[in-house]
Amino acid sequence: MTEDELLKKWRDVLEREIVQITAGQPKVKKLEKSSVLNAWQTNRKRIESKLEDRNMPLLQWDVEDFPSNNSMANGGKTGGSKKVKLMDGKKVVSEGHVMDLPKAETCPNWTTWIPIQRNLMPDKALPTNIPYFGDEVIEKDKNFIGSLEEEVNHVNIESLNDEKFLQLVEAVDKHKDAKLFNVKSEVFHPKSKCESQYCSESAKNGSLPRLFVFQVIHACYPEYGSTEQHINRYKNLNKSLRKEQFAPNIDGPDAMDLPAEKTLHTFKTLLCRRCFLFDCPLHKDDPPVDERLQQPNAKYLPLPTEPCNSNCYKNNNSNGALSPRTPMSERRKEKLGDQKELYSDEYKMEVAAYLGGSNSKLDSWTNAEKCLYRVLIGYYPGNFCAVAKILATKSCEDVFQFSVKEGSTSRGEKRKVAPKVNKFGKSSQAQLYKHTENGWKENKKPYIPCHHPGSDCLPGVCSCRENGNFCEKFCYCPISCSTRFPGCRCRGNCKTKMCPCFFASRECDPDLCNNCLDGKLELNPSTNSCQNVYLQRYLGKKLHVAQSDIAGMGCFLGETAEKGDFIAEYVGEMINQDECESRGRVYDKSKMSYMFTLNDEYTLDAARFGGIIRFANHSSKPNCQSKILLVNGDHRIGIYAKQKIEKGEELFFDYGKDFVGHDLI
Amino acid sequence: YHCTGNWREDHGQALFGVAVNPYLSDTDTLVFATAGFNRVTVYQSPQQPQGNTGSNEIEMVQCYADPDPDENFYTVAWSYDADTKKPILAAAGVRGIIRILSPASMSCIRNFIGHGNAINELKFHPKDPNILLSVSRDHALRVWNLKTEANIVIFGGVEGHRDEVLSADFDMSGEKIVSCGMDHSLKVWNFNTENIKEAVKASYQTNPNGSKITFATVNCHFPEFSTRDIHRNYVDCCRWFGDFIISKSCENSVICWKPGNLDANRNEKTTIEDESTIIQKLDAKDCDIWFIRFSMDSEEKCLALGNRTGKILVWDLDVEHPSDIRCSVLSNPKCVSTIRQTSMSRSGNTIIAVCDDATIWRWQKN
Repeated sequence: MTEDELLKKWRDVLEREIVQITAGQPKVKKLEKSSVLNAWQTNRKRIESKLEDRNMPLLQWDVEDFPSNNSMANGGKTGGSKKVKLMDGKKVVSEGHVMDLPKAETCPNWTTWIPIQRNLMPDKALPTNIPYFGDEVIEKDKNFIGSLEEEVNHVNIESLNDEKFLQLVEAVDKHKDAKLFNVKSEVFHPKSKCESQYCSESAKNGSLPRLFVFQVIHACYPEYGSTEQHINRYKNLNKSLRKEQFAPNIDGPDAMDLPAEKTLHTFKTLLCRRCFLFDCPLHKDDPPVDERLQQPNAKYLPLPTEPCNSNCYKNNNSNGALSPRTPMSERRKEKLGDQKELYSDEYKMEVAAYLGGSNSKLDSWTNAEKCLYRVLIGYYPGNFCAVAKILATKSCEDVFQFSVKEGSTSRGEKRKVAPKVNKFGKSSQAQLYKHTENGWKENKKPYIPCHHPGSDCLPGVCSCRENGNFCEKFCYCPISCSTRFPGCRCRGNCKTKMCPCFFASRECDPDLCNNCLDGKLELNPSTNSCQNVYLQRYLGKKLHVAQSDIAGMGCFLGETAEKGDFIAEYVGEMINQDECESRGRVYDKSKMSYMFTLNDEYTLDAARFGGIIRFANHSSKPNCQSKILLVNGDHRIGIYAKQKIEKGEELFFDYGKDFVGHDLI
Repeated sequence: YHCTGNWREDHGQALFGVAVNPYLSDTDTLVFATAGFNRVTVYQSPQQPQGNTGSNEIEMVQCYADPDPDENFYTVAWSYDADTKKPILAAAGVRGIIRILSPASMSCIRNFIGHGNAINELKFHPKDPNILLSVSRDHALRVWNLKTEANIVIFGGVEGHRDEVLSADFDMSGEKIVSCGMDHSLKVWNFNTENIKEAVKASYQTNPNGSKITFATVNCHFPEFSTRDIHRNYVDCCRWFGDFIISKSCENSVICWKPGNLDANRNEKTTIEDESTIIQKLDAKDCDIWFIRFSMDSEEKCLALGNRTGKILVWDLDVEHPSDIRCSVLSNPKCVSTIRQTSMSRSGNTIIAVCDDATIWRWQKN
């Protein structure tokens, strides 16, 4: 085998593996003959039993009951005068009159879509298929179909993330086909110092993949990186893999004994800081930063000084030195004594079982209980009664005793946050904002929270500055950062350019705009409350879908809207440029497009996921207009009334250049 | 089998669907319906005594035509009226309207409008003759109640099909639905959840004309099982075969497989992540274009599939071991056009096949 042939073979192997890895492992099993036989015969028996169960009725086809074609035609009832024939060669075997079906209107074409309330980021690299555009397109547009085929079957090694790269290395390492290892081949000789070093390492350590794996990947996909890079990538990944703690078990009998930090690890990594949602569908791309945000100095409520019930640890004199104690009046004691226990015994048992304790051993602390205690004591420092209440399986006395063993976190030692030094202050922030082109700023770049510990948000360091964005409240820079948007101080309704938020195409931020939004949860348009928050509060109008007067389906307003009123948010899947291009080509062919450019990197596609507003048609004289606003760090598309619109009117907006594709849905 | 007749419908357009009425005894008369062009035609033909090749009797009983010339019927299915025991015929096609026909009164008794695009296949529930399943180009499946016109369930959405659904089938107990489509995937939907059972019940109580309150259709976004590993192209036909599924793509083969573990109990829940097991792959020559559908007899002992060159491949599934399955090829020198669908009579003695050139072929077991 020549070197070229060898490489070609390897390329095939790699391609197969990559396809498998990106598409997920095919989950098809091949089987032993005997087990197939067994299953096959069981299945046959099952069919027989089900046949009995089904008991299909045997009916009569009484031909005489049917009016013949001729008699119908004579009766003239159906009006079907056309004759149809059945031929055998040229001979007419049977003929009769057609019965015309009553006319029925179809609804306009549409495809199943999934209503969503907010944008989402789709999972990447979904396997696709080539859609069917009709035989005509296939005939005429061979190139187009061919390019689609290529795209669908394209092996994209670039798309392999770290996890999948490891899978690939492992898969290739497992290949044992002797023909593919031509040792004499140049390919497999260590070429650099690093390579030979790795060679000796892997010879010693059997668990490391052999050198050829990386050489082959490099030889087949030179553009993907050098052998050396692959080796280093693998080593780094392997290291971090080992270091990484897998999500620890924190409940049930198998729970681990962990400190509070580790107990909360999963929750922390899954929580989206921007939406306060677990497993947020939108901000999947945000890099996780393992750092606490600067927290304001927490003010705790004063500890309750009264015992929580008659058995409270505070009544126990031996603990007196540690807890403030007020003598209990007899009357109060009585009252507490009468009080029912907070939880019934059954409930306690249930909780105990969940926390891994057996019924008999309620006294000892299970690992799950320990974990829970450590988390809770962080939030209720010194308040053992509250912790006990939440734990349910332990009394406050138990909790107190345990805290002594643990070395209690009392309030005094709790996080000491240095007093903030406000370097810039609001006024200087506002100044910077004034200098940005008269306050107007085109924010076309998606916002990513900046993170550069130890240095200020300067150009070249801060990702926000690089992108020309303001820093937002989700950035890791100090609150005093000079590039943060200061918010507005309007007392009005924030609907004019006088409002800096409105002027900068942003919705007001409840954390920044203290005057217009301070405490005003209820928005009242008649008073002077902020009206620049409709997107984030989902205060859209009622909408209906119905057959459009123009084409296909249309979107109709269910209540009257004044000029400038917020109608709805245009929501969809947030896709990047590559995905947008490949989807766009298919949509153009099928003459359906629901894509809307969001910013420089992302496009919203409402084809599969969207809101009712996706049905709104294009018009050059529209009654609605779209505006892209920055809402709490996210770009979102709002549709607003351009003029007064009556209830029941169809909605249109100008798709313009932002709308990818053509002019009619 | 031997060929006992072939006829041609005068429109000359492709016939896409054929269905033999399975609720009739086929010992004396055979009744079947064809779908193609804008027509649905019902035929009856007396059953020949075995071995008689001479007679060529067939009678066109009824013919329905849609007034819209753009209509092109793709599929037909038989059921019966639960009260009067009269036959019912359902047909649908490119316009996405389901026509419910009553041959007894020779009229169209209902239209179901709702699908956003063409309907590719119709199936009736094996136990409840009022429950109709339709699959559509709009990526979804719908279940309807014939009595009240209620749309009971829509299967599709988040984890549903991502392209046209081409075929679907109820299992024999009517508890599960398998569906397949252009997205290469096969999905199993549970039709026996509490939610759906309640909706079926409620669908009998709703009154389409009496009340303004519309029936609350159940939206089912998540199949019980889904796989893209069986086929590598459009999957255009799937049928339950006991706990197994038989499906085909345009890859010159028919595959018999089982979702989930091979020895898993039926009641054990399969999940979306589960693997599937291929039992047997049957090679099928010249089956490389899509929208060709096979059929089985009511006892699921025999499978018949037409191909692109006008031949019918018949597999005997009633064998000891799946590797013993043998294929017999039925061919006639005059039958050269693509066979779109076959339908077997209740006993499996007769196969009716319909072709792209509007011909109908009848094959009789020897």
